[in-house]
Amino acid sequence: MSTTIYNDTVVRQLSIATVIWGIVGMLVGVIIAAQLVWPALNFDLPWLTYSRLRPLHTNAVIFAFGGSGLMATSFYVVQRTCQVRLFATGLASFVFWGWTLVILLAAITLPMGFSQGGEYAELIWPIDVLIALVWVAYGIVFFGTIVKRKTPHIYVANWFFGAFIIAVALLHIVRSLAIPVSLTESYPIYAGATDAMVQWWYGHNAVGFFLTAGFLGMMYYFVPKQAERPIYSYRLSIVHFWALISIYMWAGPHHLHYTALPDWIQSVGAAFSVVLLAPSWGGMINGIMTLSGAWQKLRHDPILKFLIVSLSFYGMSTFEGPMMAIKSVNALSHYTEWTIGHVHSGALGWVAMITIGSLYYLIPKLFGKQDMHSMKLVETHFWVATIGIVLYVASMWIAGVMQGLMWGAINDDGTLTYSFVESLLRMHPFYLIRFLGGAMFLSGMFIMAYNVYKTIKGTEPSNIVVPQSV
Amino acid sequence: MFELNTLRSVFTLVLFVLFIAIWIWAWSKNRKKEFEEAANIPFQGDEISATLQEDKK
Repeated sequence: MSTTIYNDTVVRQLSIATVIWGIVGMLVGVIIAAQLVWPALNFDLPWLTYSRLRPLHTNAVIFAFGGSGLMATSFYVVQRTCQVRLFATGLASFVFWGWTLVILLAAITLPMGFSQGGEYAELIWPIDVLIALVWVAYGIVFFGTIVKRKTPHIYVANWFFGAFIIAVALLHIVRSLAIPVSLTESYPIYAGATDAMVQWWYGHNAVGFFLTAGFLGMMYYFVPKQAERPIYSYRLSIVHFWALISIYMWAGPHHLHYTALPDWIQSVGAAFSVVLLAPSWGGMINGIMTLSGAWQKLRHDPILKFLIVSLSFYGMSTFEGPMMAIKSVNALSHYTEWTIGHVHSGALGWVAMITIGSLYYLIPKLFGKQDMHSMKLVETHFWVATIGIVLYVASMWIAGVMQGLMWGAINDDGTLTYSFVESLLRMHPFYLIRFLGGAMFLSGMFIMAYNVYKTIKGTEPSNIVVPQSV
Repeated sequence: MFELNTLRSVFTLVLFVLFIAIWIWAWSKNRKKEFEEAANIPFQGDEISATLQEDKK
């Protein structure tokens, strides 16, 4: 009987790409954070302006860093939990190279100022078409592997990855429907409040399915593996899955409180956002309680620290989110830096930390090593990253609440107490702290890149044989 | 009469009942063993045998 090996080539490519795109995306983030402190840093060059670099930052960290990380881990996890080689080797390779091409095209077109204008949906229509093709290929590879699985049950991590792949395809295609008028220009098929509604249905479900469901797939595999014990409650994971995916779809309108969107839709959005607390915390508790009875592992294992702290940040930001979606709280928080703080507590604390932890588990295995080159450096990375996030989030909380209060302050005669510029001046020290926090998080990524380089230098990619019987 | 809004209410109710049904199904005694096995899928073919963790309750 001939032996088959797992297709880890594509996982290796995507894992290394994740580290590289993480550095690129976060570097752009630190640059624009610096521009907010020292506005002269755009050097009066159009392609270095905040307005062009900001979408580059968000696209790079979400789709390049997060996307590559999700593709790498989903391809690894689906093979291990189905006990078969990845379906369609050539197509899997197309997913990696196609996705890389999308990222490079984004990195060229966004600084040049080509944009469709929708937040997280800036890329112009030819790139949107390429994304759709790559995504369909990704789905075929993933679900093709599920179809030929040797295990009777589909493990819960694959449910989350699968929901993420299907939902993102749906979101991307519906949001990107547009009538092209030239190679770089198009007009969305929606108009007015409908366009806004579609935008935030897309935008918030990108958070729900890209940045949450996908990374929960990561959590349900790598937390049990690193803790060396099965998930706390498999039954809870099933209820968690169905509750999360059915509720997220309706939460988008909380981005449009007090706008031209019909009032009842705003209320529905707020209600569903508050309800989301339950499944979110169900997932967080399920992950953290996996360590129940083995808490001492957390003291010695920096990878586990990354994974568990990421779940803590997940819990914090999924508590904060529902609160901010309540209309009266939103009246204070909306359009302020508080939102930026909330997003980064999720993006750095949850998404980046769980990805980094998973990669530290994954990379040595992909290159036939027992562990990373230096676990001490992993520990250093953990502390640098954690302190960086705390600085970032705390400064944005203070800045945001101050901003909201100043904007809403009214004199006895009904005039505004503060001009916009007065509130902006007060932001300066907090923008500086945010820049430092972001720079710390980025420096952690450089530590990681060095550690990864030392780990894989001179190694042969390991060929792991697919077990023949289950 | 049956109008669209009545249908919407019924649909919401159906979804709610479905969710409760999923909950009952997931917690039913018959599923316990199957789910314990499923929870151990990540550890198949590992040298390190994982300690089986009982589903609480």
